[in-house]
Amino acid sequence: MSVTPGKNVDEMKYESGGANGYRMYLMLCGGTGCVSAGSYEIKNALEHELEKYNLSNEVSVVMTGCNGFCANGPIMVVQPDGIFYQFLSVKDVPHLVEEHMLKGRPVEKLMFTPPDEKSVVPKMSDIGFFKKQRLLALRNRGLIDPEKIEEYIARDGYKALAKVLTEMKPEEVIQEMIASGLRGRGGGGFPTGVKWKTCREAPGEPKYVVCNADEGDPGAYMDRSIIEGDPHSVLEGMAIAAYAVGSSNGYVYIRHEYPLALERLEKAIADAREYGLLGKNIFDQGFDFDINIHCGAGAFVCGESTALMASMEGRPGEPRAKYIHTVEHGLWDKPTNLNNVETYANVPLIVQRGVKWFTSIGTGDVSENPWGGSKGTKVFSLVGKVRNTGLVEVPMGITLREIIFDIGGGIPNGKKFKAVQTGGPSGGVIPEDLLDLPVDFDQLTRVGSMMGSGGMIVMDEDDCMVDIARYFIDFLVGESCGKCLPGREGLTQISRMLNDICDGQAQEGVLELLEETCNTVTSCSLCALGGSAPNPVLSTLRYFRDEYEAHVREKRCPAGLCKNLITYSIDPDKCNGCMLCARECPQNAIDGEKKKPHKINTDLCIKCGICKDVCNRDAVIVK
Amino acid sequence: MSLVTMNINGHEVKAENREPILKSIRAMGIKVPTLCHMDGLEPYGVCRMCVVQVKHGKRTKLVTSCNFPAAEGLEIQTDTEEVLQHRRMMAELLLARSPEVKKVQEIAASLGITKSRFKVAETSDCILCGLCVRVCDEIVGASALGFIGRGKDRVVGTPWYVNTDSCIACGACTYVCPTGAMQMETLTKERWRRELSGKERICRYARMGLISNKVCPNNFECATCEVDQQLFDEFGTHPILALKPGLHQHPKQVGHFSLIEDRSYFQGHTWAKTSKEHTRVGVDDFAQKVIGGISRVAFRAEPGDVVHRGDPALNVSNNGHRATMLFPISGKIIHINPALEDDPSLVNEDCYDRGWLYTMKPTNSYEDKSTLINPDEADQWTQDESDHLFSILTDSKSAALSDGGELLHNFSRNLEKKDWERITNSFFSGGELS
Repeated sequence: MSVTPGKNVDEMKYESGGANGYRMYLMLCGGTGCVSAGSYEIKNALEHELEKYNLSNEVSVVMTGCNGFCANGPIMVVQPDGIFYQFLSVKDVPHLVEEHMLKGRPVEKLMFTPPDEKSVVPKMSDIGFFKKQRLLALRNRGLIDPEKIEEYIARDGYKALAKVLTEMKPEEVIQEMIASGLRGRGGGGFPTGVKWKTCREAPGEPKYVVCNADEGDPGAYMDRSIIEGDPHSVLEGMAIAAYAVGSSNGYVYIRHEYPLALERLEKAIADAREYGLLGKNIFDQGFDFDINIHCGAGAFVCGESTALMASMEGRPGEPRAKYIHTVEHGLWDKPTNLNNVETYANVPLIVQRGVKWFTSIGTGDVSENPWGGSKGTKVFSLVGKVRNTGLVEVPMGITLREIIFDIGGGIPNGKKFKAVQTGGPSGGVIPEDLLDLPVDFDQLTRVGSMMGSGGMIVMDEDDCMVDIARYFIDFLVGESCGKCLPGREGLTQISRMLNDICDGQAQEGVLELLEETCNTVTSCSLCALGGSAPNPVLSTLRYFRDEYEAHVREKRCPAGLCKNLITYSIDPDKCNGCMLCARECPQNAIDGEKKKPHKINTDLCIKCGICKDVCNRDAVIVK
Repeated sequence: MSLVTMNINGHEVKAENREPILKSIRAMGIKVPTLCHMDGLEPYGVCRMCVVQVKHGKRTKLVTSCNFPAAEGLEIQTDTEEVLQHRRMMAELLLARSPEVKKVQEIAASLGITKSRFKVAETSDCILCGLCVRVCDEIVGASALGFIGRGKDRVVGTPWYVNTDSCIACGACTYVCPTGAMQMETLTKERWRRELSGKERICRYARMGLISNKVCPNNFECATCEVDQQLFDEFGTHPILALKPGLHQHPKQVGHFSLIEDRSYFQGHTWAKTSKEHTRVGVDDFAQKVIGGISRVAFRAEPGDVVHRGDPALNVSNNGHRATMLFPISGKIIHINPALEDDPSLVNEDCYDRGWLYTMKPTNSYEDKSTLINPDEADQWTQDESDHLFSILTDSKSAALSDGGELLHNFSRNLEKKDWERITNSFFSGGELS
């Protein structure tokens, strides 16, 4: 079957389910988080129950992509009313189907209740987590079945590709991208249109279009979610890029740890080929483009463009000097346009809705200079010490405070906010007094962090900033390729110094040496991974130097986290002798009689923190 | 290649566009420390010692000079305080990794560093400069070595740490290793001593194709071997570094004949390939195929002779048919190929590689460049020569072509004397060429 632009695309909308006239759609989340929490079992149970009440012709169960509210999964949204259910389990299903689907009475106990409030919020659109979000890259989130190309098409999918192929010259597409101010969502923030232009003008044939889906930041899963939830938006973006730069070969580089994304991507490519949206002579316009998948083995460094291409060529995934750019000499030495998943997902929308609309969202002015601002939205994975963890898409220019407190619901357990780390392992830490910082590429860089691919880790008063820096540096020591001296030896030494500081072994002068080493690693590393790796250290030194000094000079960890620098004791005034801690202590280090204050034997104590966790009276003191 | 003008430490210099700037910096006599750089290998840019400051347009940045390409208007500063500070820091990092290595101590001392402020733990003599890995891959062509692991666990080794047949014990890795950490050659020779006996004990230079098959009488103790010493003396370096078997490209086919794009051709069907140390000459595939099974060669010049382009270089004969091949360039003879005297058929087997004739020091490379047929034109030239040959063979009464119009193998054996003379005159040493 092949599709011609305009007429057929519209016709297909009616074939794709809308005309079947279901009374109710149960949009069950099929993202990796919810699938792990059992959403496929729930789907079977739902279908079974619906069958029982003879509702199968009236109510349809749809597996959607990730909704973002992963901590509360499995999640289901009942359309057309937009009723939001969370923490579903198979045993809830019979009651839910009987009450809501059969009798029309939504079930309150499965709905969302905001913290500190008593009444439920039934509708998805009223929940704080969703309210301030603006969905562009995730425009089809929770609305379509990602495994059905018809549903993507029904939501105006592939219309943008039809438009560029029939109405626009490649140069016009590039001009449009430059004017839109779209900047690379993989972290670098390089203007997408400028990259396309350079690639188009670079001599050499064939040209390649590659999608970087090698997302490797700990705790970040923006790209996975887009591919799982709306794979065709990425394929369409790549096809438009291919037309613009003059390529007919595309690759998606995706890590093999993403089995669900991989499966859906494979299906999407197969479906697009079947519909003639990939392959030869697309839309009868003489444009050929096909996409193949290259599966990465999961090295963090392979997200770096030259390492990614080396890996695709079958060589070890190591970066090379980028004095010669990959847009000119990339994959197999040919001009190669590499963009991130989220960047491609934005492209069809810009083509369809126009530059004026896109530039109305975001910061700065890009009419003269594509670096002049940050336009559109950014997807963040909001994790750490925040109530609503999950995936959020927000307009550029929103403040950190809005993201963390309005969308994220603030810090749980009555703790105090301390800092937020953005930009993945090689990003920086931003302190409380910068919470009103508008989030965009340039502002984050200015304060010593970066946009990165969109990781956002919230930390509270219990987090030690030296320990945080140590954690990220240790991650990078293990994930750096080891090719260049600063990246290998420099990071190894930085890690040793940080571990010494956390262990209370560091000598006076270590902070100066640490800074000096970080500066050399920043300036002299071979690739951007090495160049940005010291960011967690430099930014924590910049904003939390007092914590470092407390570790070094007073051998004290202010957050009470670094084991060698703390002791556990019990406040005799608070302890009521309940024996709970003594029973749970794995070292039997707690002595005490019933109803009398307990004592911790510090020689036996391994500082595991179990006593503090189990104590109901907050009597365990960490100093 | 076009020339560009740059400014190095305040002095204007001209350089070839996109050529690494280290070359121009060193040409000025400025000292820049390097550990992973070696002329003749692709720049690698990992030791970062050669870092310099470059201003291009409005932007000033630090780059590694070994691989940063020259461009018009670059302003280069090789010894700013910032640059030196970073070099010193890197020397300290190296010293913490390899405190016992002399080369590291020297580089550090040259920057005023004698002691590292870092904690010394888990030391290694290998500085991971990659020279061994790259020489084995790029110059020897054996690719026996590689990097294993990543990050701080990176080490040099053979795949799965297994002693490999790919290693030919040439010793190039040991020869280029700046720290003495590389032991691959010794390991392979130990294995040979253990596993090989009698005629299997083939000399490593024979395995490299530098001499004809020779059995080692010396229990692979190359350090005390005369052949070894002689070859080192002749080439003035490790012989494999001079001959670079790994750099040979694959030939491409033009009609019935093959060409290699990395060299220039002489109208008399000899070739010249220029490297940094010398120029090597040989006969091309056209000549080899037309002459057929070569049974004897006689060199017409000896090491030390000065010859001119078009002078006779080699007499070859095949079953009574004789031909003289001419020198493609003028210059002084450095060596003749020792393997050819024992085994002339090497010219047939491998005319572009092991069947080379002479290495020379050219007198006038510029003149050679302008008179020889460059790789771009060689396709067309070979095609024309091929058409010419076929027209002669079709005219002749000898059976040289099969029914399908293909060249018969070793067809020259069947040629009548006058046809043979017509061919040698037209293609190799005749008439207009002298």
